[in-house]
Amino acid sequence: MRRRRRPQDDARERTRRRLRVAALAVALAVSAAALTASLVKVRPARISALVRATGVAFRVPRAQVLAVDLAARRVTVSGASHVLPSVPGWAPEHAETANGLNTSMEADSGDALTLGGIPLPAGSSVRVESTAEARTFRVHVTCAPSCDSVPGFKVDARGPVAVVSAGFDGTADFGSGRPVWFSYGTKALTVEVELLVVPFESAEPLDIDALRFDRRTVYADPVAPRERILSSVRAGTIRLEDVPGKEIQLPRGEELHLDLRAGSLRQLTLDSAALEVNLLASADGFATGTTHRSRLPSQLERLHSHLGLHLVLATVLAVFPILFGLTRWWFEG
Amino acid sequence: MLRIQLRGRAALPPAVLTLLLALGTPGTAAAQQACDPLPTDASDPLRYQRLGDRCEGTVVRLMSSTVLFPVSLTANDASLASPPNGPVVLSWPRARGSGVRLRVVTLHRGVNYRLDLARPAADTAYRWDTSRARRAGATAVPVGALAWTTLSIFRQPMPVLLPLTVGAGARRRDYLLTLVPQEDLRTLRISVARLDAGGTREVPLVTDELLRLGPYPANSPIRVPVPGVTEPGLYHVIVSGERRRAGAAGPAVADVWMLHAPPPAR
Repeated sequence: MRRRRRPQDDARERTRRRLRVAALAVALAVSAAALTASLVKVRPARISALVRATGVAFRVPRAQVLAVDLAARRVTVSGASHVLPSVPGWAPEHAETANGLNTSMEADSGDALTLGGIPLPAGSSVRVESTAEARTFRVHVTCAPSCDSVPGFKVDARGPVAVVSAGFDGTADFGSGRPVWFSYGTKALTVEVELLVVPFESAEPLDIDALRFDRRTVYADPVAPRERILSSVRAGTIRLEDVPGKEIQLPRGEELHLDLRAGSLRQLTLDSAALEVNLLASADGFATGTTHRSRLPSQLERLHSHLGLHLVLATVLAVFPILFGLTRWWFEG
Repeated sequence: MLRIQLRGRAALPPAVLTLLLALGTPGTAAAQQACDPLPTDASDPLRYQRLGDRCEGTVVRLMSSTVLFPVSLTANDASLASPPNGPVVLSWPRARGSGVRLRVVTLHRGVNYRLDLARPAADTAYRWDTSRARRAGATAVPVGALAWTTLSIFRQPMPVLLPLTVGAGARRRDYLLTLVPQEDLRTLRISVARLDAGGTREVPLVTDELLRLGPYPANSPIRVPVPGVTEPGLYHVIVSGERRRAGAAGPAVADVWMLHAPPPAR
């Protein structure tokens, strides 16, 4: 004989069912949140990087000085609109052409030239790259939109210096020390230096808003010279600051794509054949390889790295009601 | 004070706060509307900011982009020490440039104060309300004071220093150029040349004269009397230092163009 269900039993059953549904809903919500967190990337992600490369290009959002106090054996400046020497015999020059003036200064052995800070106008793009010659680097600055009203920079020289310039080709005596001032041309300026001492470390950071590690390679095909842009990375380590302990190693030639929101080029080190970039940045995009695989950390990774055991416990607690609900549903029909 | 950092091999600027940049920028006084983006402490009520016609206040640090750089060219011993109540008068010779910029910085460790202002070319004096400087402690320490305009030299716009007279101090017989080295220097030499009347070449007056003002420790102001300045005109002053640092290093050179003119009519 079937036992008649009492109203109290029905109420109890309804309460139990509601509790199960609520628990299931909470569990599903937690699971959905976890799934979402695993798919949503941290933006901007904080990254720090130490990359050894043969070239780096960056853009500065505001006027700054590429602060160098660099002892050089040879300095070549291309594209200056004015050259103001302070030595007898070498007259000041003014560029009448859009290409500007080319000036090369080479110190006698044992002595040195000092390259002062290079002013970088706001929005200018800068490329620093090694050349085929040992200890020689090229700094190329492109102003946006023009270099008008950008202050000049100077090279301090001492003693006899071999000079090749538009109005001078010979040895100039700079005595105990004289400056040669250079002014920017209309659009761009290139400074090539042969370091006297390596490594050279820049001492002050630069604020940047774009960064690339690439270099242009031209294949000397006599019929159709081809140009390719290749990764300049020799090796590197990218550290994701949002996920403590997570590092990404960059092998030689790895493509690195960074979409910076803001960054600080903390140090630039030049040695015999390459340069090393120490970067701290917040990036909206960070990808590697030719497929541009995103390496931004997910929100779940970030949560896991910060919450650790708590997140595991929370997940277990979320899974348990799901299992419980499913079991009850299966056995009770 | 003017704190010049010496870190590693080179102590160079974080930003565009330098004489190299500031003095190197051609332009009119009117164009100098915005204050330089100097690092300041936002919680400091005396921080560097625009105050009426000038930018004035304390900053976190003041730096330069060169190893040896000028901070002052004065016709008297620039000092705001124990100023009388009320403003201090800064005066300079009249120049035909497009405008005049003035800068006062403290030269004492622990007091990072700076004043910047732009004046029309017709002006030859400025009455400076020093109340903020006094509160910042700048009036109790040595200061460097620079005034400059932009003139065309060798077809190039160049900053030209105008010797300043600060306050009511008696004028010196020669001008006093104050430099700050960012590294220890072993020796210091000075060269002075005058731009000839045609403006086409420099006439050497003093060449590589050894200065006996040492020692020259890093970050300590060096007050250099400028020799050979007699006739009115434009002078090119070059001071070169030999670094004490071991190993190969280039020279440390500071060069300024300055105007020698009769004092302004009062």
